[in-house]
Amino acid sequence: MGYISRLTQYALKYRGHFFGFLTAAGIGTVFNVISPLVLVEIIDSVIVLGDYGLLVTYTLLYLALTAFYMIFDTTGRYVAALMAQHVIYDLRSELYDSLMEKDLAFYDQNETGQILARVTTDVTTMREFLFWGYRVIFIGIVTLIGTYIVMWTVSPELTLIMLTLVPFIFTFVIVFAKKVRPVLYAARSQYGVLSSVLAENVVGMRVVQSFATADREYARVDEENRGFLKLRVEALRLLSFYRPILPTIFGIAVGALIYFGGTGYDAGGLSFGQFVGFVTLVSMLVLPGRFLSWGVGMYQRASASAERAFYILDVRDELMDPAEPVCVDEIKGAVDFENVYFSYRGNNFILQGVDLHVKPGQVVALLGGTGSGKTSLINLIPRFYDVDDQRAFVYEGKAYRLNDKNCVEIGEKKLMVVDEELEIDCQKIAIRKPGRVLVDGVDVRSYRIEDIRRHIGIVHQDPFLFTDSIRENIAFARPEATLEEVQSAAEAAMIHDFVMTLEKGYDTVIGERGITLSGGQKQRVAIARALLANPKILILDDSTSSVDAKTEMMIQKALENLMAGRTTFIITHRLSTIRNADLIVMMEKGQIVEMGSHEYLISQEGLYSSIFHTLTEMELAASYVGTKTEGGDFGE
Amino acid sequence: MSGHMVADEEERTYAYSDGDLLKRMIRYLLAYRRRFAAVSVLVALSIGVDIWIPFVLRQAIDVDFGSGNAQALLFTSLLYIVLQIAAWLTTFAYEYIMATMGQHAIYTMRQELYDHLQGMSQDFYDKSSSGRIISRLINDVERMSELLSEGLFSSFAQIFIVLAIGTVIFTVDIQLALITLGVVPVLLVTTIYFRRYLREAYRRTRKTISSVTSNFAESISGAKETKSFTREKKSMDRFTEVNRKDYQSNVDAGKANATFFPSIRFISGLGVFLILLVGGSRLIQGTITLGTVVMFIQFSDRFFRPILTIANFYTSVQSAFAGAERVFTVLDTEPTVRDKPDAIPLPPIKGNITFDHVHFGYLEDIPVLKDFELEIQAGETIALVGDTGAGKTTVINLLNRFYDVWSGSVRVDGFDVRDLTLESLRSRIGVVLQSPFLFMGTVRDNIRYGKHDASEEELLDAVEAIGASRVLSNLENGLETEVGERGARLSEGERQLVSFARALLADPSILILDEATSSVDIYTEYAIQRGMKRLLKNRTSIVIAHRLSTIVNADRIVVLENGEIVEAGKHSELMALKGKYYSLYELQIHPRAMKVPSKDRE
Repeated sequence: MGYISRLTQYALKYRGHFFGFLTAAGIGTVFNVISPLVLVEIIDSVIVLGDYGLLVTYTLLYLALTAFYMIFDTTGRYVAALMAQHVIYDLRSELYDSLMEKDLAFYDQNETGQILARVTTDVTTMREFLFWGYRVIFIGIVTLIGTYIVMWTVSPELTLIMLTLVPFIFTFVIVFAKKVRPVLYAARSQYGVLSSVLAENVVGMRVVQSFATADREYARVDEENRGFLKLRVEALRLLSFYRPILPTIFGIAVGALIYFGGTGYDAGGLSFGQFVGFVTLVSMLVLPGRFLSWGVGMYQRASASAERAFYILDVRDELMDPAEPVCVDEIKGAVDFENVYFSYRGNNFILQGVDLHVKPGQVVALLGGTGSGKTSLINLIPRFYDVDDQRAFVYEGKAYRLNDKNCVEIGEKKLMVVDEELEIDCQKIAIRKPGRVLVDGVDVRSYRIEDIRRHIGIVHQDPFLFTDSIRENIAFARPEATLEEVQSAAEAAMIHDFVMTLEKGYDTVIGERGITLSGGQKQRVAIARALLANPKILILDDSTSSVDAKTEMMIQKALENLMAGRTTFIITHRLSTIRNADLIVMMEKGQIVEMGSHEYLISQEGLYSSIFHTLTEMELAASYVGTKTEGGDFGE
Repeated sequence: MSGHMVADEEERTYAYSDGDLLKRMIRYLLAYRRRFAAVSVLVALSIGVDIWIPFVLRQAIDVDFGSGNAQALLFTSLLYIVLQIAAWLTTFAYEYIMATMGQHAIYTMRQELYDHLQGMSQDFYDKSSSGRIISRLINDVERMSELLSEGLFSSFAQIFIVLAIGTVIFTVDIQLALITLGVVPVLLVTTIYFRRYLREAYRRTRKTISSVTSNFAESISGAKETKSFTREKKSMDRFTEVNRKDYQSNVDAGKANATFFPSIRFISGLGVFLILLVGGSRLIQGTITLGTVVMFIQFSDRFFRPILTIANFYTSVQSAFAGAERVFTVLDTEPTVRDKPDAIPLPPIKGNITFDHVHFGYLEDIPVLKDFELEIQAGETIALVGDTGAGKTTVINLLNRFYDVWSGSVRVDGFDVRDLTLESLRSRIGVVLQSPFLFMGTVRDNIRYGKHDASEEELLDAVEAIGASRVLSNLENGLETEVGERGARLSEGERQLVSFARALLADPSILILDEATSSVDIYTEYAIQRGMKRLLKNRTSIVIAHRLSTIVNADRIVVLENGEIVEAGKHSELMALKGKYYSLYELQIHPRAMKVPSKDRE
């Protein structure tokens, strides 16, 4: 209910349109339901009188009513379409705006496809409702009431008998909503399941063939296919049973009318005209039944869609600019993480008590698998998310959060913090202040988001470039940059020479509508983009895919140019880069398990040391054989 | 309906004639002959009832009313009611039977197509994109669904209804019949005209909608970039532009749509008007009965639905034919690699492999392997190196019998692979692909794919053996972590580890490993390096190698160039040769390695 009335609020912004199309639809319907009266008149008066002139007048009146019906109906449809499009336009703009404002936690928690469906498919469903829904429900009600009023003017007695039809109309609406439609939806969703199983098997056909599991997969497809067959047949069975049931019921009513009308005629209470008019009117009652059922169906679907679409508008933006931001023109680039906890608004902690202190210009290499929290950690610096602002602690490898009353539940036990300490099983845990991330000694939440982000550059492993010219992509952060500035950034990023080989140079459009860049080229464009932005803090995700030797050298060189003089956080596969980093941070399950310089970590003989030794041994074995670095080494 | 009106997805190659396609589709329905016959009878019955009903009404008005015969009146009334129920039940029955037939046909067709696709050899998958193949299975089969389960019969039924009513009304009154039928062509022409116009209008909206969608998609995927560079405003402006275009095209389509249905209804009203005018004047003259006029009004109403259905029929036939053509094309494509009639299953093997004077190419006259000779001992690890296009992948494709050789033979323990059943051959050969494909489900499900009935212990052993337990147990839910569609929720390196464990669990006698070229985080790389060693142990292995360590640790390095073996031997031997391997090493292998030691040596 709530979501549709919210959608209606949007529609009511176009009050003129909204009431305009309802009025037009209402008037059209009135013309439609009174037209049988002309029939009654023709049969009962005109023909009895035998007046040809009057016959022409009345038949023309009938035609006029039909024409008016057409005109008003068309107008109603058109105005409804206008309104629906206006509302959809507004809604989409608002959704887009809202997407731009979301923090990254939103994008991490919701899959791209899901978000996309909410702003496209669901919006389309809402448009259907805006266009059809209000109108058919309104027309349905007006026709229902109007037809009975007209019937009443023809014959009150028969009208009373025909009132017994009303419950059938509503039963029909209910049966369709409760019984038929759920099966239709179930069939549709089974179709989705079948489709994804088929798609998966085709894409993975080589795996299926090489593991010789064809029989098993055939059975799996058969199961889903059979399930779909069953549901689809059941849906069609219900549809072909219930869809023609309304005309049948009204046909039966006409049958009854023959009897009652006949006896009424014989008794002199009913004329031919009245009888024929009644037959026509009763058949007209099919329409409200259909329209109301249709309207209810659309209502259900639109309501579900509106819920999904409005979710996007309703997810609170957690990142807010502070009321009194700290002004910043230049930053040095010191970054400190103090007791950082982070979760996606739940109890599943991605980061658990991380402490890390980085001086300006230092290079930090981060190691860890998926879910280790290394990416989340660096995303806290540009405030793509904020740290948890409640106090938390780790006990037996699991993180717990304190509630407002300084209490926490561990298993069955309820515990309370006393004197900044918590006692569990005779073990005392010191509870520290809520975590924070500092840049140049100031909490990042004290800066304006835009200010802090301007000083941070990010290069992803698979950088996203926009469907735009190369120049616009490089100048993404500073659209006002001159071509010279763009070029010098491109030169430092080792991509200039490539750009010059293109016919249109920097104006070459890339992406869907233009040329496709290789992974290595994309990465270098992204490096140029970051260079032009000239940030003090740099975040690099450098798990490159395979590139040839020349490209590898160029990327290496470009990265070196980029890293010079900036605080850098890097995720990389290059052992040499890791080794040369000022600080190596190894993470697992949201905690730092090892940290320090290369020499220090090697001396500790922990996981890093064994990784390093294993990988080096393997490479060493090879590298010492044969040539002694005859130009084989690039970028060291 | 001119050709250019047909939307792209309905394009046809006309490899089959319409008649052939229809015949073949109907053959699927003919599997249910009895139901087919039942439907025909029921359709005929339903048409009969449909035509009878208005006559009963006429009977009531013209004969029973005022006759004073209450019994006759009751009889007519009951007859009318019975006919209504009969009309409903016959319609329900034939629609339902049609639906079961049509849907069974669709089910069978889809299953047949899938089965056929499983049997297709690799060249088929190389030639056509998986997107297209998926579309055959899903969309193209579905295109036939409407025609087979509703359209075909009901359209014929509707045509018969129009013909039957048309004929019957002439026997009643020629003048009114001409008027009533006069409206039909007008209805038909208007409908066809509007359909064309609407189709164009909707085609335009599809275009603008898709640019709205792709703009949304780009903005969502690029959200991180837009935010890092604080460029929200510019993106908004761009979106506003496509949003406005979509608004306009939809309003245009809305205009056409708003006019269509009311106009059709008006034309039908025009028919009633003419019947009233002519019928009325003849009533005044007394040359016709009221019941007949009312009957004609009722009949004129009955043309309405058939015309719309028939107009729809064309579209649904076009769509079904387009789908059928593509589906049948795939069904008629024979796999190039098949079991021989007398193929034997491969007995347990040691793992000796022989390539004996093999000639092979993907395209006629363009050989990829030329007189290729390679003898691999059981338990040996072979590293295949060479430039792209040198024939490395071809060697493993032939061993797996994804293709057949032109001449010469590929033998496993002395058995020519062509004499073996494909299933038995492939179940002995494990394959680890460069970018491993994972199925939806958990990490555990995917590892188990290698051996369906593996015990929990075997599974954990395999994970432990390849050294993946640390990496995998550190995932969010450990082995229970959902990998997502095609494994997208895991990193590249983690997907590789899962595929190692999957291959180890399957425990094949021969292992083919296409080493991944992308470098992964060294945390995972460490596990991969160790895992690979374990995986290659105790079995014949052929590795398309990229990592220096893999190459160096191989028993034999085989260097390919233009489909021929140019060098073979150990790393040190080949380096000393200063030939092809040496230059490959300098240009490709070594730069990709991690170059740790270089600093120490300077």
